[in-house]
Amino acid sequence: MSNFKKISLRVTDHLLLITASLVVGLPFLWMITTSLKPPKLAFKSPYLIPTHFHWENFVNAWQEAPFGRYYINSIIVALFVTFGQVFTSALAAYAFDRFEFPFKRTLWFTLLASLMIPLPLLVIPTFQIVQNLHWGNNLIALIIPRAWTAFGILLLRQFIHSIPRDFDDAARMDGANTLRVIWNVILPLARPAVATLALFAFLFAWNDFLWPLIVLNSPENFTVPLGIANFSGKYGTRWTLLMAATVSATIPAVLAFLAMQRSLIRGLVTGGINE
Amino acid sequence: MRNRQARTAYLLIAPALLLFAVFTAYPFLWSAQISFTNWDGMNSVKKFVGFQNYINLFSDPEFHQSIKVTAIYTAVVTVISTILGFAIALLLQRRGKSSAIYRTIFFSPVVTATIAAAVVWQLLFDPFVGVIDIGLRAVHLPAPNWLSDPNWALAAVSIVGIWKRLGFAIIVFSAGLSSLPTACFEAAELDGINAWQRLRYLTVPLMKPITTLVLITGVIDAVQVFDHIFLMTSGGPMGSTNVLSLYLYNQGFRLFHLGYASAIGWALFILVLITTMVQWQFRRRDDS
Repeated sequence: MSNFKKISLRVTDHLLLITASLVVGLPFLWMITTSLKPPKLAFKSPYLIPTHFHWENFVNAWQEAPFGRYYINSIIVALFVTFGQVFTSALAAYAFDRFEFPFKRTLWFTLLASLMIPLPLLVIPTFQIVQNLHWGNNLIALIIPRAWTAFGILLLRQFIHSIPRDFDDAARMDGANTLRVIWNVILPLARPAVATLALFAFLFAWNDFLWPLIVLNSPENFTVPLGIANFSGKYGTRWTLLMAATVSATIPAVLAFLAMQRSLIRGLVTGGINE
Repeated sequence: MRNRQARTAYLLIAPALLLFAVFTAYPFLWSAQISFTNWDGMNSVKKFVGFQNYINLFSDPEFHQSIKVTAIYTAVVTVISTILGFAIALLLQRRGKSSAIYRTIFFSPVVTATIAAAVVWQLLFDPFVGVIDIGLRAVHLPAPNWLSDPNWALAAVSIVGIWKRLGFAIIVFSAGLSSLPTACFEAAELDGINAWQRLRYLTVPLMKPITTLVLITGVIDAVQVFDHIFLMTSGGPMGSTNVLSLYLYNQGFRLFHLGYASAIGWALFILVLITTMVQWQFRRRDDS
């Protein structure tokens, strides 16, 4: 009886999880199958399985818009933002945890309080600043203003706090300066937290839409989200073409995530929350 | 020695501090100043108008509508994604090792660019060829014209919001569940409590700090929503999805009412501030 109960519990659990996964995965399934169908048959049943594979949808989509260019732009922005956030956060977090200096508490409180400022509020004046710096319609405007993060400093400081100071001292004995200590000792030990921060920074830059929408105006500078929005505005209901474009814009990112997910989720689980 | 330490510390925080000053603190204060003017962005002449923009907000029916829509969207998306996320995290925990593939599926929307997802959802919600309405018609339920019916558009964009947010909630809850003290549960097991009692009197109370974290980050996220609504409905039909960020964007970057748009931005900030303060109060009450 107990065995029967165990098995039926397992079956219901999996049924529930499979249903939920199907609902969540539906947009991905639909996107992929529609992208492969001939335009005329796109909405004839059977809906989910393409009867012929029309790879030319992809060729057409790529001819209509330079998705390769969008990809390169997005990757440049996301990589620099990620590197910038990890770099500035690591230095600041180390200083806040290990050193005493005037106005430390005031500064810390100010940085944390800034987490509450909604981005749309900052967009209007920041656009003026970027114009005055002559960064309008330039990828640098997507990178420099986003190269710091209060969240990252908070996250890394908490993690660095759990690393004993003996490690710093040992490295200093060997003649390492502060930058070396941070780079060679602290960052490798704080890897879960760094991975979490890097994931968040990358996703934030990758998904960002409102700010690039305001700053960029020529298609050769578009990031993936802007390119997709532009494409969708142009090709309204040519769904097969549109889905081919969306697959081109989404699947590589999802695949990259799948490749790295083990370490990333572990970083999120151990570094982000438990510390 | 102390002096040298302070100098090193300041050098280390300098990069972050400089960026914070130029691209957060300064624009934040400047936006307050802009909100007291009638600046149009082009003209260098800015006229000081005092509290006029804020007074206008109070009597602006579009702004009232916007507040209402934002509040509904935020409440619906945050509450539903949190409850579903908690339930799914519990299931995943019970299934242990075999849950990896599910976790991947649930997290995929988080890594997908919101805009790209919005294009696909537009197709799914299409009244003629969209799978949602095809399915509803097949079981003889009413199939609404989701994105162009003012009664249904907010529900449609909220569904996308929940879809996008769910994976984050699941991951955070999973992390929380895996770090709960097992000793409590073993002791309770000996006392012979059933599954429901265990959930009600152990898991839920122990998970309260994590739940608060998921709720508060959810609210801060949802209150600023922009991307998929911009693409799917642009705030329509009839303002039924015109959230604050969208209203701010249209006032600021379509009509160039920078003063008025900045006042909307401050309303948004005050909403975030109130939510955060309410949560602080709860926390303090729990601590004492």
